[in-house]
Amino acid sequence: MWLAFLVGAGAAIAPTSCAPEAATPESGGPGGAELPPDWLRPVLDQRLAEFEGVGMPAEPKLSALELVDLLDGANAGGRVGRMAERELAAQPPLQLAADLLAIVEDRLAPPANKVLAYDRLGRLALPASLPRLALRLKYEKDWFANAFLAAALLQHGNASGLDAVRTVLATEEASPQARAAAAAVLTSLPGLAEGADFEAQWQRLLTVQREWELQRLLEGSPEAVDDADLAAEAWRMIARLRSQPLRPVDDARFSLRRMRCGIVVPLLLEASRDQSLYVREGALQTLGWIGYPVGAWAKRTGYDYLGHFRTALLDARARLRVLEALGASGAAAAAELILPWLEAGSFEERSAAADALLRCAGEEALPAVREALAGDGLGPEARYALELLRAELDPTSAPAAAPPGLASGERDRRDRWAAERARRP
Amino acid sequence: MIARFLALLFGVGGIGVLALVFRPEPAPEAIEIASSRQCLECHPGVAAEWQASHHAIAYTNPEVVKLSQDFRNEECLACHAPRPVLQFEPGQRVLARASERALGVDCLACHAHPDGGVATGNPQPSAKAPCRPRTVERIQAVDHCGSCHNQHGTVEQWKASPAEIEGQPIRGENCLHCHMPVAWRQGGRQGFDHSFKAAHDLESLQKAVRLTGEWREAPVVRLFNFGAAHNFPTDERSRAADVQVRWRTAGEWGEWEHLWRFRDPYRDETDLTNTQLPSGETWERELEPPEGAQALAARLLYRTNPYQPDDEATEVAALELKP
Repeated sequence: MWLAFLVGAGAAIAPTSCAPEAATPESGGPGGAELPPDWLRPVLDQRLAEFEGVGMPAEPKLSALELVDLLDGANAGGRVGRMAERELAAQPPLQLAADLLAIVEDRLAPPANKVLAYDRLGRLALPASLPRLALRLKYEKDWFANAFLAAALLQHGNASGLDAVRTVLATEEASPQARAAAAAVLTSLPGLAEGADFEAQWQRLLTVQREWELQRLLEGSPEAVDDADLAAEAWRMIARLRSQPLRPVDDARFSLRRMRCGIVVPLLLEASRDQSLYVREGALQTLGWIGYPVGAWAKRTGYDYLGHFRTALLDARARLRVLEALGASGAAAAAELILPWLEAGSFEERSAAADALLRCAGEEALPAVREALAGDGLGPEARYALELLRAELDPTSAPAAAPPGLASGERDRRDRWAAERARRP
Repeated sequence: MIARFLALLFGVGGIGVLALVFRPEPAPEAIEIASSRQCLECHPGVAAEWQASHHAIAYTNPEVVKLSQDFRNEECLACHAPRPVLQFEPGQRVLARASERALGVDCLACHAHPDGGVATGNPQPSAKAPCRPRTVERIQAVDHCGSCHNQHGTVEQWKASPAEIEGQPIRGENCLHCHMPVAWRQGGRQGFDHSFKAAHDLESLQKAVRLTGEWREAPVVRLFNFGAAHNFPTDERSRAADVQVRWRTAGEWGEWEHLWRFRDPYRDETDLTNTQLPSGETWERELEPPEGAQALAARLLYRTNPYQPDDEATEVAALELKP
């Protein structure tokens, strides 16, 4: 069976250069086209150089102690409060935001200090603080602080923190203080009717979360933010993708996927042409993890998403991730670009193509899916993905069955993708 | 004349027969390697070793499945179902593959040659093998393993370890020195053990550290990292090794008490510091015996996660001290 399988499998180990940083054009594939020689560029280095000196200062100015004293004083009201407010207002906003972020990023900082800092970051609502603020969702463990973090993000038109708000409100173990702070966040939800009671606020929370999940955009927020400091900070976050230790890479993917599409998707598309394979891979993976909102963003803005990926697919080293990002966008038209790789790609490419089709293809892909399933050259992941797709597109076909060798996590991932198809943009 | 002719005829014929008999067999057609399953068919000995290894269960190990939330944490995929390491620069991190993830760290992860076929450390690979192995020295280098195993600094620890401990070479030239010893397979063929024995193997743990002590003025317990050319424990932050003690008083043994933990804590365990025991170093603790203590027992438990109960941990060493 395996020998028969080999005939179709082709070069599973894509003949690639040993040097991931190489910018040499790679072979095309089914179409035989070559990657244009100027496609891969030192995008990241150019952007970092362009934004040098822009964005938030790297070094804090005020010590945490001084700043917390000022924040405490400002909250005290009265004459002391006014003096503290004047002192805070005298700080350059970017410097102040950097100092506040230094407090919330300090693992040893007491939650009470973090609450003060998140609160002020929300009031400042400086776009440049957004990438690092979104990253706090990964590390902030204190429920009370999380409510203030969610409120600060909401000030930026970002609903990523609402998961935590929902958890705090639904968890009896949360302190009354944390629950009160979380309940206060509900009152600032966009589109909430004046005087709405808790039930109406809760329903609004669910609606806003659903919108955010599908669109990565909140009612009343602009599609993009024209702010050089924010762009500088976003590129610095993207720069973490080329790290060799994995934590910075994961941090970047975490933060970027939680930001508004209009802010990050154009940057990630640009980064997907970087000379470093790690940057390309990370940027494409982040696009894939954002998923359907990318397709919805392309639809809203008329961006030629498919045109970009038509060329990117010629990049043999990043092709698996290009296929993933294409499929994850949910755009039915992407199937046309993906199908040739299901038919004539390597073993790995067929797997990636099958998964991508499961996430985006419409019924026009059914004949190719049937044909692929009739052959031998598919791994268990690809076979299951295509069976799920066929089961949906052709209700008369047999239900999908997990083939031998498919890990439970991989089965669940594809079941999840199949269930999400109803929400394609 | 006839005799000479016949002799010549037989001579030539004989040479022809010998040539036919000893004619080298044509090499079987080269195959393209698409899956590690193909390797398992031709290399059953190595396959059996690998199947007993933690590389083989890198994706299916219940503990990993739990920690990665069944790989919904996709960042875990890169090292638990990697693309071939040779596709990347030496020591650079690997990226995740798209297919057959249940095979974990499979044959192709280490052996797939980026130009097709397979790579081997064997300096004289068989030219006839259908997979057409080629010697690639890098496959035995520390950086080959480092693509995954240096995420928590194990390779850096190895580089900083002493060359000798107690007059014995400790480091070797690479990770294989300890983790891939020579193995003899069917037909007397020499190879290297692909079961990658390490922390899940009691014998390997016992070759790494020694628990000793004495009771003079007061009882003293020591742990010496004499055999691991890296910290003990190393790699994943979940690994923990605990020294426990109990006292015998009035002829009865008391309960085990926690004395010390060797571990690199998780990032959010801000109240803890890294207490891994570096290669060649000794940890020592003097204890104050309770009134009427007759004996002290100490043991070293190795846990694959910090919350693993005592009865599921591996007892690496134990000792008893008397005044």
